[in-house]
Amino acid sequence: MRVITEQESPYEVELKLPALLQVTKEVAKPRIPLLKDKLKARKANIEIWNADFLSDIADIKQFGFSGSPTWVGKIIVPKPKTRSKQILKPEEGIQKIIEILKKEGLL
Amino acid sequence: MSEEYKGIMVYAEVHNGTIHPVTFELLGKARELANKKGTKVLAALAGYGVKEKAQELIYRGADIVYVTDSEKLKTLDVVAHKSALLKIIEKAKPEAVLIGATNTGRTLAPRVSAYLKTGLTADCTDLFIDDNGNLVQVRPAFSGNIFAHILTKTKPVMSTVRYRTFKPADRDQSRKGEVIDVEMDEIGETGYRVLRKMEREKVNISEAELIISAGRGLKKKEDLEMIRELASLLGATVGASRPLVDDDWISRDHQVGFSGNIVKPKVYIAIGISGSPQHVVGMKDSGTVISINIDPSAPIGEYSDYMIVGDLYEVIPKLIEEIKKLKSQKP
Repeated sequence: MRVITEQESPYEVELKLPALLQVTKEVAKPRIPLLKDKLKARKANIEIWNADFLSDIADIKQFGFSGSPTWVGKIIVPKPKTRSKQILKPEEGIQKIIEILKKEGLL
Repeated sequence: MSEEYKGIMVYAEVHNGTIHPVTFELLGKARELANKKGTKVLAALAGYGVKEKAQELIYRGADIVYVTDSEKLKTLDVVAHKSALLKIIEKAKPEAVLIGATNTGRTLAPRVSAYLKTGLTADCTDLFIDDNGNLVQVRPAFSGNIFAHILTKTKPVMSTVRYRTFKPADRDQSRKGEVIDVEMDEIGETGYRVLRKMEREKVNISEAELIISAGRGLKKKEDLEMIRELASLLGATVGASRPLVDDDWISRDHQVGFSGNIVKPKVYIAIGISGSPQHVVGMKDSGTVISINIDPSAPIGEYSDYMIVGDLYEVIPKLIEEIKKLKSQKP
């Protein structure tokens, strides 16, 4: 299978299957479901596998929180950096932009 | 068992003979962490024709550089690179491994951590040693509304950090360090074959000093032309909030925000951007922030030094006109 993957540049890469692919939004656009697809979905029989169902081929103690090597010690709500928060009208705003750009040597 | 793991290791990312600057930022942070723990800063340098780069890593603070220089690493076969990094980690036994959260780091780090069955915390915004000597990894959650302090039970602790999060380490050409060669294992067919490198127009928004950024306040894709014109007049880089990128108005290279790029320009001008937390995380450390928004209560106001309340469709054309006037006056 051939894929385009992004490193410091895009690369075309050939993969031996089976392969696990992680994709970004750019990979494709979702199809719009037709009426017959929606009806099929409503009647579909969905097989559900839970942890017990997989317990004969996997160690379920490795699932979820008990299997996680990381844990959250603390949660913090961030305080924003204090900014001047000056409100300006359009005319003074435009002048202020020009003033700042000049000051920073960007204009 | 964990007493065996010592030292803070930084993965040196190299492309086309150039060390990615995130490496120097990680070396700076590694020095801070290593000093607190009384251990050394290690570097992992794996590639083809990279050995001469070891000195640079030493100048930037590495005490020991582990080098694997192999033809098997000539292409960006990430499976081969994983194998090389694993061998270096096996030899060095670091307590922590820091990797840049670049495209390369993002594909390499999980492969290594999965193989080692060790925890990996991605996109850390800070790292520090707590009172118990543990490495605490700080990262945003819920679109940047909160920050979580994460600890890892296993060793080595692995973390990825976005470019422009930390300050780069100073360069000291008098610094001395050790270089240790590590031979790669025989790997055979990796199943990952690089066919070709493709060209792409480079937009380096992370390093831009002036960014003119647009968001949902723009009504249609064509209106970006006005933003591009303004940016072009000022030699600025065009930025965008996530919705514009998701709608294919502009490429992800221009995206500012947590899932885009982190930027620290001298001046950031936010046009029609509401200021969602995930956008703000990407630009909050800008020098001066000026926003233009029709809504005076838009959250971006909290992160702005100046907020111009008005219709961008009136303000931007006037601003463009003023700037053109100024530029035509100059000799």
